[in-house]
Amino acid sequence: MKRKLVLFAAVFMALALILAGCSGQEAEVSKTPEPTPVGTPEPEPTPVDPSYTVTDSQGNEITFDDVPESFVSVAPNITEIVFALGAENKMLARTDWCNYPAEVFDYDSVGNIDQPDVEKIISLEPGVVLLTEMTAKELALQIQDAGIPIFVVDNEETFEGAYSCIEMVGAVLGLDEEAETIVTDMKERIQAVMDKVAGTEKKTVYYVMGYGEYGDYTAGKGTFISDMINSAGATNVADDTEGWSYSVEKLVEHDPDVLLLSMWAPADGLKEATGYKDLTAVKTDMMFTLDDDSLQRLGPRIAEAFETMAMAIHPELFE
Amino acid sequence: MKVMEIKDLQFSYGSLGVLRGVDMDFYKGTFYGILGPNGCGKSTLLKNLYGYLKPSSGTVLLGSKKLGSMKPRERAKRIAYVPQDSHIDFDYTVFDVIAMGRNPYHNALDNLGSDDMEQIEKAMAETSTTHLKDKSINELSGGEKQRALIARAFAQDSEIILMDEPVSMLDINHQIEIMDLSRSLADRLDKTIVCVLHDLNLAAQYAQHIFLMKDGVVLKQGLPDEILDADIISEVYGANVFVGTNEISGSKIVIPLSRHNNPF
Amino acid sequence: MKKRAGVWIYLFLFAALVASVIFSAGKGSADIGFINSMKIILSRIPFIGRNIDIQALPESYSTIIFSIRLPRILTSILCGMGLSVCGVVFQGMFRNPMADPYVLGISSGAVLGAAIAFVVGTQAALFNFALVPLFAFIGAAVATTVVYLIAQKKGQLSTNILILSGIAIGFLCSSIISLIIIASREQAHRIIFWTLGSMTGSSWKTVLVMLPIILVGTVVLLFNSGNLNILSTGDETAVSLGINATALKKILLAVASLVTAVSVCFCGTIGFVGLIIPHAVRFITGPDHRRLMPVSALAGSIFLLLCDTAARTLFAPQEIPIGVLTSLLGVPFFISLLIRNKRRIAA
Repeated sequence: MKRKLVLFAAVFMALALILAGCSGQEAEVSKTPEPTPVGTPEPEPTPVDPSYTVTDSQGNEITFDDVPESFVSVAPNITEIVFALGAENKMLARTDWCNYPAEVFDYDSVGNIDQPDVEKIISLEPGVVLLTEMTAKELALQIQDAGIPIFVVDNEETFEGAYSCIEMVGAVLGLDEEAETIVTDMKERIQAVMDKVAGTEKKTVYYVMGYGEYGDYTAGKGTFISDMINSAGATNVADDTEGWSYSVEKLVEHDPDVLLLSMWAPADGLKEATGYKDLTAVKTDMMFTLDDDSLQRLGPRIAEAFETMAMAIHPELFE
Repeated sequence: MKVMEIKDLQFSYGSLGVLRGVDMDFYKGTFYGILGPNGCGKSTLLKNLYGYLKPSSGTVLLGSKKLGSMKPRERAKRIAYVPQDSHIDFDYTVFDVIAMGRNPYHNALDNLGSDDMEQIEKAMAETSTTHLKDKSINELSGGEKQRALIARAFAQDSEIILMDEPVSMLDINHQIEIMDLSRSLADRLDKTIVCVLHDLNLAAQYAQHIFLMKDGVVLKQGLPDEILDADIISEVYGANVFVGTNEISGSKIVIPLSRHNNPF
Repeated sequence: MKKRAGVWIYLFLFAALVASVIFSAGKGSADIGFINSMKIILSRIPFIGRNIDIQALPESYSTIIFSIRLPRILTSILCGMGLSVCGVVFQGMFRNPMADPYVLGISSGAVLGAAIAFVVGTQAALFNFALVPLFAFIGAAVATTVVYLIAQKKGQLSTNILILSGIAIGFLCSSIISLIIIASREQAHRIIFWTLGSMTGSSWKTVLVMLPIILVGTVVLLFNSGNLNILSTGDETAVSLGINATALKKILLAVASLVTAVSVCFCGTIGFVGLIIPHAVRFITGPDHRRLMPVSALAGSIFLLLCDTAARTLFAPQEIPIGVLTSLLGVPFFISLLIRNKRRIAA
């Protein structure tokens, strides 16, 4: 009996070791991708060195021998930036959550943002994988260990952060100029809005992220949405809290002029909801639904989102 | 021949003293009964003997060797134990259960040797359980199950077999069956049976020597005829009884007296 | 009563295991194909490999097979084996066919540890290995130790008190986890997904840590399978038959807890395997732990391997959490076993 057990253990161990051993060394952690073939050979005797180094949001430096011929995007904001830069022809895949612009659905998906299908990504053999900190670290490491460079694009949730994301993606894909153009345009639009609302009497605003049986949520002090509200000629009444949770009572106390709604907070429901239905803004129908995606993604649509917000708060200024 | 000697055995659960100096001698081939009111320490005594509890002080000698110095396996070869009622949660066969009695003799992992098989078969024969060997232990009747447990203890091939109220949970017919079997183990096969009993009349019928315990010590010991006396029982149990003679078996019979039905 | 099945059942299960490994290696969202997978694997085996030509295949295929699929296959096997054997041990030790490896608060402790790790920030340093498994393991270890300390008294270990304190600690951990989830909503879905179990992200590093612990632990438990037979009939009986019940319980508890904790900290709290595999196998092999344990080990590893393969291929690129799959697959199977054995159980 004992012999059987020892045999069992030994055979098992052997099997495992064989499998382990014949996996050989893991592919080394490399930050340089395999050399991408340059196009038609230059006739000039001294060709320009196309290699360049970029730094991602975590401070990692990656050197590319040449602009990557293909990439995979593992975040919706990155996907939007890619399309804005006109680089979508090099994109091999996106995530299930990428939904803008509509052309994105023609592309393959690698699944979730936080747990994408690593096998699929590797089998596509992209020149680089663009991801955010939402993606699980072990999976990012697996991709890297397979010899594919990863580039983390994650920043603070502010206007600057959005610009940074756009600039970084542009830098990786060798489209710095195009990125600059987008950023400049955004800056102008945002400044224009701020100029318009300067000097106007500020309205009080509350952002309804969620309400009802699952709790009442808003954008508290320090959040990006709160900062946007405060820059759009308004005051965020929820600035007396940090974080996302709020109480209906306090809201009724504040009785703001305008309610901005997320897509999780339908206006019809508010008219029936306890507390909410007594608000002036609800009774006077000063409720505006904002597009969540453009508001929350650090990408090119931030400017548009900001404009829409200002228009909702001060319609009289935007005739 | 003396097989076991208990000298001034003491045991406490924390600060609660249960055994306060027990002295007992046991001889080969004898059926001993241990009696006493609840809480006198009967079961605790057994637990100290088969190793579940460790005595606070005192000695137990098996022949010339001290019980405390024996390793578990060695002790199990000398003392076996039959519990009152064993609920076994898994579907072991009767054979499996009896075979566990051979644990002191070989590594639990190994298969049974020819020695082991011989002992098991003997155990089954003595307890008339051979025909039950492939049945699940949980399918047996109360009496059959006790026989199987006794067979297990028998398979341990020990000189001493402890029994803790082996028939308290059984129907009348099975009670007599088990008591007969236990007594025969002492008579025919020279085993020393130490049987904790609740029923005074069964003790009267089957025990050759009785230890009467109270408050953690042996108050009286001797032949059943000597021990089963109305005054002694009144002193130990605080009960009024009438002690007569069982005309069928010839042993004493104890009849408790109630206030209503008292001819005296 | 079921007769001894003999060597055949081991041969059968071992063959099934090898077949499952081969099958699983060939399946995945990258369309490598069965034959190519075999070629790739065989090409690395010392002597046979010389005759296999894989030049035509893209290198990423090799990477996928060796860096992603094989470690994952091994992790599933180890986890399945560990949880099943521990399930057998806990059921025998507590004399309760309804016990499972999580009964002493190991799972709650692990989830708590993982929750803390998620909140503290696993992304703090991108290249640090395994913050979550480490914290999960610590959580499991602390919980089990506390449970043990509550239950042990003067060297004696009462199984009843063990279970009760396991329940209490389990509740305590769950409450703290709920607080954590409420306090950091962004991590909520991560924590919940972790509790459902997943083999994603297993690497050779994972296997390197799991393999020795689970294998050695399993062997130790297997060596005690005979003793467990006796212990399972009752503490008092076991002692009277010459077993040092307290020492045995401590060893079983320590080793089984360690093996379970290691399985859980890398793979999440996969439910059902530790409860049902021993049960189902017991119907076939009978209650003799000398057979029940090794057969459960093999059956459990095959089961979890196939579940994981299904989890990652059925709806690729989406992955079904493996805990969901083990329940969905296991429950009907178990119910059918129950129905067939109704009379025996009711007896």
